[in-house]
Amino acid sequence: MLLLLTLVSNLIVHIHGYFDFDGLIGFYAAFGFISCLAMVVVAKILGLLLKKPENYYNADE
Amino acid sequence: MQDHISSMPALWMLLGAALIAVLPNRWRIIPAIVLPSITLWCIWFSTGDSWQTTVMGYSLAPFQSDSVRQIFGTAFVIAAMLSLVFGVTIASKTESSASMGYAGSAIGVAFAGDFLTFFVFWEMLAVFSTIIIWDGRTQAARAAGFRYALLHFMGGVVLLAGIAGLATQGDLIIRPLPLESLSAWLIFIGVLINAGAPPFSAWVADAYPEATPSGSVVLSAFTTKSAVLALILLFPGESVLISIGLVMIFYGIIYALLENDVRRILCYSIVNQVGFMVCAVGIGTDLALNGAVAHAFTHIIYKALLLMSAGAVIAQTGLRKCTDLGGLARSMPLTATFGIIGALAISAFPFTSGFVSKSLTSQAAIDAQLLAVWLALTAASAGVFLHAGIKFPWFVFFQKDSGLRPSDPHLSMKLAMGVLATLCIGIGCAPQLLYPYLPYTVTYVPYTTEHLVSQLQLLLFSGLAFFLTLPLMRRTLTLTLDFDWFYRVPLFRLSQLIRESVAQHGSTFRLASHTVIQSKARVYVDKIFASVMLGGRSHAGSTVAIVTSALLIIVIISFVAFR
Repeated sequence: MLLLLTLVSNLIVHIHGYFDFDGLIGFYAAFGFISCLAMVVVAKILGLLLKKPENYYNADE
Repeated sequence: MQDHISSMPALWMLLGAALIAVLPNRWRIIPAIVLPSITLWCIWFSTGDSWQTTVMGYSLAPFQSDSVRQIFGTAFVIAAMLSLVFGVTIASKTESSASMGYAGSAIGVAFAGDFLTFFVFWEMLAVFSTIIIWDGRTQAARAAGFRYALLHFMGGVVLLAGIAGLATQGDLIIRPLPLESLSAWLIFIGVLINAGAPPFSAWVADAYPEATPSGSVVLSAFTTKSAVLALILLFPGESVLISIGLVMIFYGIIYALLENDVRRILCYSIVNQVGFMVCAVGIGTDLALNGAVAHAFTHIIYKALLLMSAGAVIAQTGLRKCTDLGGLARSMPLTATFGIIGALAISAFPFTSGFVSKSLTSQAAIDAQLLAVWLALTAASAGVFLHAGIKFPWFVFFQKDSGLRPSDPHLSMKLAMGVLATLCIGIGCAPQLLYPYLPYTVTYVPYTTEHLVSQLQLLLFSGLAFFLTLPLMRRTLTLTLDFDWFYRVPLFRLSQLIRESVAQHGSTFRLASHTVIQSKARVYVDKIFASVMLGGRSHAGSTVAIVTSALLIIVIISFVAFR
């Protein structure tokens, strides 16, 4: 609901972009959504490489 | 002289540390409130706004004030006072006293007009914070405290080498330094280590969460932010800081997304937030520096609030992992509310303090026509909401029902959180409380319909992304490798090898190496004294290089000994 509301309000309030493309309707919504997806996916991939069991550093003590 | 000393804010805080140490425990709340108040008065109303003196031919300014320093000083005082109030029922006497001393050192750094004073307080920061970490009193706290102390003393050595080099070239007054000489670079690196810059970012999330719940609150405020202040005073507009800041921002987000420990999530987000400030210092325009200062001020407040709500949960449940927590909003409604206010503020939600401070930096990136930087900052703002704004409250206060029914914490904790939450919303609704005190005149208007709509879109759709990707973010019982792996695993193995071979080859080898190291160290110490104290300016550069490398080797060896 709220999500729709902000999109609708975007139709009424025209955002004057500072660059060429950021004034497009829904730019912020799409950009926020896509960048978050990207960050989660990158984190997931890095996690496969870097995640270790909690006792990793103390295992041999 | 007496006037000067009584007008020096840091000394009042240190007096407070001494008083807390000697007074009976039940009275410690009195110095914890009175002395920060006196300090605050000194910061704003002290008559002599600078104190100059000459020592060994160098003119020093132990107390130097301006608007940037006043804002940082004020934030430090607020953080100190409220975290002491927060911890009054759970903190030990050692911790309370060290917290006061720690805050005093940060204020000392903030008002230091010369590098000598700066360095003394800088090292005191490391000492007091290590004491606070050790006061966590677990095996993990002991080990993390050692790693923390060694890294920070190494940073201190690098900084000192830079200062020594600077002293041979001229005066010690703190002013913007161009990154042209070896000494300037050494100072730059020394400061960045305290800011949590890569590759040494791991110490923040490694050490801070091992302190007590109240200790973590204290720790979050001072070291990284005094480093930000140092960057503002020394290296404004160094463009390399933009990239360093961006790396910190995304490092913080990614690692926080992978983390399971509640306080570690918040500590990674300290690196993330300091990244915004470092980036702003790198942009270096008036608006950007205003942004860095305003962001540091509001950040100290909402980060303390977030760590307090996490601390209250940990104090009430004894648990610290997302996998163990959840569904606490019903039994801890006040803590949950305060935590959510902190989370909204860090995400720069409209009508919170983050909204009016972080947007200064974004606008500065736009004005400077840095498109890529602006896109990265905008993506990062969405990422902040993802990792701190939703993840923290969701996994602690909602998520599943963990079956735990802890009550809201002691009155003192609620009071401290209440004051901070009020500040978050107060500054957010009335930016005129903050803007007039910034170093440059603010013409920026945060509350326009465009800004409101765009920010809400950005945040709400990141929220949508969070809930859609929840299955990907299932919490696991893991830690995440970081740069500290290099000194915790290979270096440690190396030390074991050396130890074994030393044991095999008998004591003669050990004795010999001992004497060699000692005599070498003495030569280097003599050299540094000669160049600093006696003004031996001829071979300054090489001495600095030798001293640094020698001390670095010594520090690395000590790292190995205390994995």
